[in-house]
Amino acid sequence: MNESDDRDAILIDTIDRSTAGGGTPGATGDTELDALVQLGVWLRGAPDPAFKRWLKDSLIAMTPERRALGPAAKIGVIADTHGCREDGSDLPEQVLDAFAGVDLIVHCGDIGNLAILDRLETVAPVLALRGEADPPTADARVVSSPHRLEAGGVRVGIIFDLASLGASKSTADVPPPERLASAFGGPVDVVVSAASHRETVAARGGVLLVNPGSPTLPAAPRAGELGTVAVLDIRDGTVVVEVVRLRKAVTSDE
Amino acid sequence: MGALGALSDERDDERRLIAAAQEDRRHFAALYERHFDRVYAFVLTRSRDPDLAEDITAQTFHHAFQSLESFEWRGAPFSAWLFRIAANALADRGRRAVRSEEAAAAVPAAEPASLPSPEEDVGEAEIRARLFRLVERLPADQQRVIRLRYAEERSGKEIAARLGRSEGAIKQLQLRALRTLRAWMSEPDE
Repeated sequence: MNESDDRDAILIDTIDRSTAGGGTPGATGDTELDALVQLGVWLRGAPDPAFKRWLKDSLIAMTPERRALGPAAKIGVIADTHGCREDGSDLPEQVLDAFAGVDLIVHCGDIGNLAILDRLETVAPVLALRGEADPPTADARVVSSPHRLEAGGVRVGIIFDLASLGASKSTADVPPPERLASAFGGPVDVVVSAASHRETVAARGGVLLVNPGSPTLPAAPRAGELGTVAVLDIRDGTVVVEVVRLRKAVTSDE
Repeated sequence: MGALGALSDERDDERRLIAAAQEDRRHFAALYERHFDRVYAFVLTRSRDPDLAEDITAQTFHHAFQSLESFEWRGAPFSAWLFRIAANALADRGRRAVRSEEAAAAVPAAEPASLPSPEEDVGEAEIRARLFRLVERLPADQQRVIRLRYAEERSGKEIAARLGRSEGAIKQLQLRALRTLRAWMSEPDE
């Protein structure tokens, strides 16, 4: 260990002793040390990022649009749009038609350009999750993943990638109920997720799994189709899921 | 642009954010992002108790969210309104604690403990809030060490075990983070 390392070790030990226990540090006469000790004192009790996220989510849950989800609700579910255009025009018009009449639109992540959300919002209020490909944003519509909401007596967990909870990527696998409850901050009846670009509806271990696929970049594209979204019709504690296959527009010369 | 011009722009910006949130509550998130660290730091500075700081910060923002209609722009920063809500919530918590202790000890009623004025804590809270924001700019491993050491008050040995590094490496990360923060703090605020 050289002299510089020695001094660093002494500095950090002195900072730790001076900042431990909550007392006010005394000046040592060493300008650098005193400044670092003071920083340590100010840093004590720094906020937990998880608390900051939780509080923001709890405020968003108080918005009138979210409270309006009463005993019956239709939720449009979309994911993996990866929008590139500034005006969101790469979101197919067929998506807006499919979501006509829904009470809320949930985007499960990998949004791409946020103009996608602006276009969805012309149909219904939007709640979106940040996906792996989405940068951090202060946009009020985007909440942290995972997220939980209740509608029509049904608890819906929303997560970008279910595999992040230990589920298999290749099959409609579901983590144990206690793992889900811990991740979503309470038990869930339905889990809506994204990331695979593959539409899925499956019941596993008492939980309904829904992945709406992608309306623009489906994992298994079909002839004549653009991709998929889903609509959850929730009423008196029951859920009906419809996977909507978006047809390509027929042009006049076809 | 001079400092006065920048201040004026910031105030106009804040005024627009408030008007947008009063019109549509979903825009409240932008005000929240802007003021969370200030409110938390203000309560922490007064209470020195991170658990209480979380409680009062949550209470303050929920109250502000529900009462936003009653906020009138009179030129004072929005943070002053939030600080007043937080100070009232803290004083109320203090009064309830005194009443609860009185009931338990069956002693005659006493005046609640007096608190310093909010203004006395705002300066220190602003420094803390800026520091908390700067911590988020540190490299991930330095952020983790700073949070574990100062927010959770873990020992170097515990942090080393948790992060799978040597105690010496943890000390180096801690020192580098503090030196970086010190350098950033000496620059003018953005």
